Amino acid sequence: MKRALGLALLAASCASAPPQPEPDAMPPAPAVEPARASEPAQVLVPHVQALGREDGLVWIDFAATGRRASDADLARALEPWVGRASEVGLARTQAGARTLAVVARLRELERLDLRGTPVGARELAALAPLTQLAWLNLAETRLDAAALDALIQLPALRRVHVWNAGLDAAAIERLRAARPELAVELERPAGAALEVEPEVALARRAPASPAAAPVNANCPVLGTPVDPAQTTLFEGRVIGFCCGSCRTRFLADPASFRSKLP
Amino acid sequence: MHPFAAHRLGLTRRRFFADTARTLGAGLGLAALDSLLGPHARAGAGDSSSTALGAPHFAPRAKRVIYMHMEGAPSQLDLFDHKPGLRERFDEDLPDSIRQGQRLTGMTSGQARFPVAPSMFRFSRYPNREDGIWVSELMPHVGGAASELCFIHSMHTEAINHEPGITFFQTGHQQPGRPSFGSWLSYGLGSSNRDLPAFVVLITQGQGNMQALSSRFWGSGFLPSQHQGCRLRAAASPVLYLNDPPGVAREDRRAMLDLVTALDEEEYARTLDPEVRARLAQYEMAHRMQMSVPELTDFADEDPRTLDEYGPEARKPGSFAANCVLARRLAERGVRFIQLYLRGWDQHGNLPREIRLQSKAFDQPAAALVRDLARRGLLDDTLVIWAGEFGRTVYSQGALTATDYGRDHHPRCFTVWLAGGGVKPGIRFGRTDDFSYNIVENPVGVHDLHATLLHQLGLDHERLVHRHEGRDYRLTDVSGRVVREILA
Repeated sequence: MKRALGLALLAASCASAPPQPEPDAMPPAPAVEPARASEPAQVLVPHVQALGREDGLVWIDFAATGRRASDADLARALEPWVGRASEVGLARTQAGARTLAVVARLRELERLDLRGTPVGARELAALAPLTQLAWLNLAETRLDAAALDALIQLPALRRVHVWNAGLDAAAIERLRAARPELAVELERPAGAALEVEPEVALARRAPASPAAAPVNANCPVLGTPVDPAQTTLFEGRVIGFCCGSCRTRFLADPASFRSKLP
Repeated sequence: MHPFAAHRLGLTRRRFFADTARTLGAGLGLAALDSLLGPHARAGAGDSSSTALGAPHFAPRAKRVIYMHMEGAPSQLDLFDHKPGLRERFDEDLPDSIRQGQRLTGMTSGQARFPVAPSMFRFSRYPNREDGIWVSELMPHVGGAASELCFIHSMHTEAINHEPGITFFQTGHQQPGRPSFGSWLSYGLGSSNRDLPAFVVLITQGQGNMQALSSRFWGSGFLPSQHQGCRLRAAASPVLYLNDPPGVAREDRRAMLDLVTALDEEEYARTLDPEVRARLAQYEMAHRMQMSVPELTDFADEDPRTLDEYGPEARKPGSFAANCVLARRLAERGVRFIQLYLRGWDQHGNLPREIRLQSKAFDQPAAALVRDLARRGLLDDTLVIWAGEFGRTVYSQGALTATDYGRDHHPRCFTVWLAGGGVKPGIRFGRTDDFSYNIVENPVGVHDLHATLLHQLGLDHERLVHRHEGRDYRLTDVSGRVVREILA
C-alpha cells in the first residue's frame, strides 16, 4: 500500500504521466496524500527521482513546486524523505530554519542546492551533522562572515557556490585558506585574449603538388615500396602508400602510424 | 503512471483475445501488442531495458540539456578551427591528396576549380585549461568563456544536405520518423516539473539563407506523443491557443476538461489506445501552462544587469539573446531538454557579411548563458551543446576574392562545443588536417556524441530502447561510443 501511494505521489509530481523509478531503486515511500492531476495540489509535492544508485537514495527537488511554499510547508514535505535522499534541491524557495532542521537529519545527503534562499549563518550552522555533504550551492543567498565557520566544519565538502552570496573578498580568502582543497566557486571573469594574430595577409605560394615526392620510401602500413600516385598530406608532409587500401587504413587512424614515418 | 504500464495493467488476457479477434485478427493483434508493451513487457522478463521506466541506469552527471542548434551549418574555418597556414594558399586549388575524391554537393560538383579560401577573420588565443584556444574575432565572448568549454574539432556526420543532416543530429537517423533527442530524454527520465513540458523548443530567425525547420525535428516519432517538444513562440501568446478565449472563464475550462476527461476515459477503457491518455495529459498540461508560461516569459524579476550581460537584444522576444535568458529560466524550473535553434548559417555565398551578422546575434548571449549558468551553480548539472548539422568546405563556392567567398556543405569534419554536465571544461579534442577537410585525430560521429550525452544523463544508449513495429529502436541506432576522453 505504501508503495502504491508513493507511486501515485510520484505521478502527481511529474508532468504528463512520466515513467517511474524502478521499485527496487525506491525506498519505502512516505504516506502523503497525493493531489489529483486535475485539481490544484493540496499538498506540497516535490519532484522525486531515483538516481540509479545501489543504495536506492533519491533526488528530491522543489524547484518546480516549492517557490510559493512556506518554510514550514517545505519542512513538512521534506520530512518523509529523511534517510532516503542523497540530493535535495531547494533553490529559489523560502527554505529557512525549519526546513534546514529537517535537512540536517538527511545524514546521507551529498548535494544540497540552497541557491536564492533566505538562509544565513544560523541556518547553515544546523548542517553540521551532514558529514557526507560534498556539494553545496549558496549562490544568491545573504551570508556573512559568520557563515564561514559552518562551511569550514563540513568535512566532506568539496565544492561550494557562493556567487552573489554577500561574502566579501576577505571572507572568501579566509574560506580558501581554511579549506585549501575546497573549490570555492564565484563568477569567473571573461578570459582576455592571450595573443592576437597579426593582420590577415593572404598570399599564394607554390602549390603542394599532389605529385610531390613522399617523405617516406616504404608504406607505413605494409612496409612495401611506395606508389607515388598514392599519397596524402599528414601534419604538413606528403606521405606515400603502396596502394589505396593502405591509404584508407592510414587515414582511419593516422596517429597510430606515426612511428612508422621518417 | 506511464501509459504503457497502464496499458499492460488494463489489458487482461480475456480482453486481449476478444479485442484482437474483433478488430485486427490474431496475428496483427499480436504484433500490435508487442509494439505497445515495448520495453515494459521485456522488463518483466528481466530485460536490461527495464530502466527505460524512468530512472537513470546509473548515477547521472547532468540533469538537463540546453542544446543550441545552428541551423544551416556554420563554418568551422571562420569560427573555431584555426588554419593560419591556409593564408599562404589563397586561391590555390585544393590538392587531390586532401579531397581524395570525396563526394560534393550538386551545388559545387560542377565547379571548374576548388580554390582554397582562407578565413579572412583574425583569430585570438584565449585561455582555457590547456595552452589556450584560437577563436575567431567573430566570437570574442565565446572565446572569453573558453575555460568552461570543451571544443570537439573532429565531429563528422553522414549527411551532406540540411534536412537529413538536422534530422540525423536530432533523431539519430537521416530519414524522418524517429523520436528526437529531447523526446528520448523525456521518455527515459520523465519531467521534473508538472507545470511545464519536459521538452521545450525556442526558435530564432536568422540573418541569412534559412532552411525549413520542420516540427518533426522535435517530434516524438513512435514514442507517445506527450514526449514531443513544445515550441514557445516569440509573441504575446507564446503557446498558440493556450489562453482561454474571450468569455470563457478558467473555471469553465476546468469543467470542460473534466467532462472531456470522463468521456475520453470511457474511450480509453474501450480501446486501450495510449494516445487517448497522451492527449488527456496534454490537455492537463496546457491547463497548467496557462499559469506557468506567463510567469516564465515575464523577465520583470530579472536583474537588469543580468539582461545587459546577454546583450542589447535580451529584451526583444524571439531574439537569440532573449531565448538564452528563457533557456536559463526553463533550466531553473526543471525542464529537461531545452532546444534552441538559430537559423541562417547556410552561407554558400556572401559568407563574410552574413557570418558577421549571425555571430553578432549569437556570440554575446551564448557566452553569457554559459557564464550565468556557471556562477549560479547550474552548469554543474546542465549539459550545454553547440552544434550545426555539418561543417563547410575550405574551398570557395563561387567567386573568391580576398574579402568575399562562400562555402559549401562539408560533413567530413566540423567543430562543436560542449559545456557543463560533467564534461571536461577548457579542453580541445580531435584534430583536422591543415585544410580542415579531413579528421586526423579522434573522430567523433553523431551517434558517439549522442551516446556520450546520454551517458552524462545517466542513460546507457544501448539500453534506452523502444520496440516499434517488431524491432528495438534507440537514439544511437546500432552504433555509438561514449567518448570518455572528454568526461571529467
